[in-house]
Amino acid sequence: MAKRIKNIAREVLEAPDLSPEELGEDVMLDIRNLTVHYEVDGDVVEAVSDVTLQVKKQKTLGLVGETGAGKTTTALAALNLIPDPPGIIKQGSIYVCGENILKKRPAELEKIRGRDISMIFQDPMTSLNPVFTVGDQIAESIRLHEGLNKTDAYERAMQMLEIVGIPRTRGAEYPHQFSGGMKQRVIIAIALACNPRVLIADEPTTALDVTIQAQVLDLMRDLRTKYDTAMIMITHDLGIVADICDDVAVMYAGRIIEQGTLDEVFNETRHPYTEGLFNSLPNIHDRQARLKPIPGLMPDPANLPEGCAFADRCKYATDACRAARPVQRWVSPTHMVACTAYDDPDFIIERSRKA
Amino acid sequence: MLKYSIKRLLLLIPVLLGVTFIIYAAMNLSGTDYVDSLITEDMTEEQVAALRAHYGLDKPLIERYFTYVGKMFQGDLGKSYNNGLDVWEYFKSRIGATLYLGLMAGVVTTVLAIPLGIIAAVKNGSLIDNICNVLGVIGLATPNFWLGLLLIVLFAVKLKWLPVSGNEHWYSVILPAFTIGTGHMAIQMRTTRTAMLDNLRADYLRTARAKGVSENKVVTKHALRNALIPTVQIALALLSTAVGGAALTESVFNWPGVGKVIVDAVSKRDIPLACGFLVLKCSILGVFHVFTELLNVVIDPRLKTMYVRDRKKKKDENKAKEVKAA
Amino acid sequence: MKSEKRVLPSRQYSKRSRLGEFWHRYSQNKGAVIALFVVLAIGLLAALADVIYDYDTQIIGYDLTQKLIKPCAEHPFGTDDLGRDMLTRVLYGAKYSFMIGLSCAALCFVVGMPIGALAGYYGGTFDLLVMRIFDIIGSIPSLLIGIMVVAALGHKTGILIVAIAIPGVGSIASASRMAVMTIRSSEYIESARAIGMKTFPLVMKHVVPNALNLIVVRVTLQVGSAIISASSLSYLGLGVPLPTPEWGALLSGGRKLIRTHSYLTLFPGLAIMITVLALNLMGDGLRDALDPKLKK
Repeated sequence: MAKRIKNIAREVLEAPDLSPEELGEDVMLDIRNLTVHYEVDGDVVEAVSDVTLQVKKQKTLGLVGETGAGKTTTALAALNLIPDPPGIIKQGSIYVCGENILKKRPAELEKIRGRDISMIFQDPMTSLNPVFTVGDQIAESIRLHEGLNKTDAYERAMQMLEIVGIPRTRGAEYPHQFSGGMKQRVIIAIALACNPRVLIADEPTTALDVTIQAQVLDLMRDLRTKYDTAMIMITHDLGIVADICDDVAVMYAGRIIEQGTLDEVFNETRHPYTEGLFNSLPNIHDRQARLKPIPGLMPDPANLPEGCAFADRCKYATDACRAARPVQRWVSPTHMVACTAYDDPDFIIERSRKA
Repeated sequence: MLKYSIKRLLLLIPVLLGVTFIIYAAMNLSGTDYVDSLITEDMTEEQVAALRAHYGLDKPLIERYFTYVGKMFQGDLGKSYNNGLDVWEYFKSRIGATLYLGLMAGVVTTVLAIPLGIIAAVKNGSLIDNICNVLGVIGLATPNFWLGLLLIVLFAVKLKWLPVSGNEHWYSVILPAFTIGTGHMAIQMRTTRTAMLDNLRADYLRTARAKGVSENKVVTKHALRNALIPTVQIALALLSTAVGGAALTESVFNWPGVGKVIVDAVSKRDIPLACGFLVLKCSILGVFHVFTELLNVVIDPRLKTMYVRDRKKKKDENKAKEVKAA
Repeated sequence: MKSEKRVLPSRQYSKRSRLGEFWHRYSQNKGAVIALFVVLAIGLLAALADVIYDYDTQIIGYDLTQKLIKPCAEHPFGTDDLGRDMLTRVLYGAKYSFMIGLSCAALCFVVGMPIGALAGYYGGTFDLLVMRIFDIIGSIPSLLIGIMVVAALGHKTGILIVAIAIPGVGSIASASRMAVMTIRSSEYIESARAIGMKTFPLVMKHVVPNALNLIVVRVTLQVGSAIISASSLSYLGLGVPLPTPEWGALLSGGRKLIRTHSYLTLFPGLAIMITVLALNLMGDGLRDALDPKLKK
């Protein structure tokens, strides 16, 4: 059973560790040049390629993109939980609280997961074990990491339930007795049970109705200030990003194509794809305007084009875009865009022109 | 829970009456009866008729059936035509061996098949998995009594380690128990493996891993506890067949249980014996079935709430009725 | 993962007919292909048994001078206590087992499927009643049902088939009931209904083909289990009576001589095993080819 590590390429394991100086102060999660492949029946799917992210203490990074862009894979990699088979971490390093999580032995990983880093999973219907009470499921991680006995751990679990707004009397019930929103809160309670220093929330509100959504977001905001947690918020809802995030990274076909502070990405948008995302949102100030969805679909990930993966859907695309992958361009110390069009120093997308 | 159990047991009564009728009717349906086998050349018509009257075979089927059921409820299952033994006493002397064999077979199945199924699922695609799969496919295709014959040839005739038949020694049970047990192994192994595989892919295992639960615990606690639900269901179903359907194995090994008696009684048209044994055996299986259902409720919390919810619903309905009446 | 695992490229199939498509998928499974040929070979043997062998002289005609010869070049399976060649008898036995197995499965299909499908489609009291009856039958071990039916109605092959088919009818009926119920409540039926499809064409177009896939596989497997049940009853002396060389009857004959002539119990059993194995593998192959979703 101690073979969880076999899905990590040798290069990753042999790469030298980064020094604390290189990692920087207050950086709780540091992902560098992460590349993850899924290999199924001889097909190689590059689910994540060359992704670099950093999240500091108390900060929240919004990870935005369409379904299939590689967001969840990136998140799972941060816990070293890429499903094996078929996932393989080909390249990169991931530091959680200064520890390279990809080089840890299983026993060490077990100590880090749940305590230093934990994750709120996307699908509340299937993410809870149907045969254990929710109280026991929350208490499990407390017992593992805090060394409490059964009764104390259970008591703590009940407190967690109350924090997420579920009466403690329901702790002895089973998941099927809860509604979807309640289950999602239980999953949040599990993830938060040991006050993790890094929290990854994978679309924590998509399964919820709007009223509960707001409550859950408020809850997460509170927890961030209370426990200094660094957070990654995976979502395709730009409203949530604007609401809760400090930084934003936009993923497309396994790559980060634009990254910056909330202000930079929202108000000084550079990438045509990010622009497309904004254009497909309804505008409350201009109710007459028709939505402008991005035409086409994301390319087949097993068969990505040579050049920019977005070129076929991009109205600014030129032959240069199709010829080679765009390089990452830093337009400010915090704002990165990967778009070939900016080879032309006068290029500017429509959204920025209007502004 | 207790109320529910009692209700389930009470529901068994009409089922058993149905079974009794089917058995009784089937046994009496054939053109010939027990007396036909007693008739000799020199008997007169009157003598035959007297014989029929003696055994009660001169009355119509329905009347005989009701007399039979009436007596059955007084605890009288009649006497065997053939050896004159009281059916109930005879059954009591025989059922022990059948239950013992069924239980031992169940032990063999459980002890061998469940761990193998789990290992096969955890090491999906490995050599062990493939071997288990091949054995499973072959096991399903092997007639059980033939396997018993092969075991006799190998262990009793060639190696002379174990007796060919009977139940005289403590080790006599080994061959018949393995015959039934290995026959059921294929089914048990497949179900366990599938259940385990389904659960090893489940999302909640990822949640457990993300909590920092060790890989060992993820398998043995989280996945196994879920896989156990279908596994136990099948194990109990197989145990009931092991007890109920062992007639063939009993016959192969001359095992002194009830199965062999039933087969013999049926072929000799010994109606009270066949009927009594079949009814008693079906009752045991019926009780066992209810017990299985209750056990399933215990191991699967989802069923439990379903049952509680049903009760609540009924209560609410009753209340609504009362309100209406008022 | 689920939502974010990227969709793999769909295999580009050339435009084949539905049968061609089916065969393409079926032939992926080498074991199933071999099994198919084994089943065809046994089927052919069964069909031609009376052409190849002369029943009176070769099958039941005996020659005591040749009795109980152990397997040798002339008699690869040996001879029985009446000097009959076991190889011939075992091969001829395919006729009975195959016929019984096929007619049983056909009976289960013809009787069980409509009952189950109707119960599943209409539900309500009819469903309750039918399922209750099958519950009662199901609570009696299938071997005992076989014994009872044969005892009640007599020792004929036709009756044996009915006796074996009864438990199978129940299992086919509940399988088709389940299939119909699942399909009936599935979303594509809802949507078909939503776009205004009428009940009858809906059932014919969506429910029947989908349920049929599941049931065809069950029926294939039923052939195998019927062969086993038939041989079990024959072993107990309640099936096809001797001297007919039905495989179970041959085993029953061999049991008496098991201490001295164990080869007599080996070959008929092997014949049953190989036949049922081939049928089961074929059923598995059919299942995977008919419904790729079920493939693990």
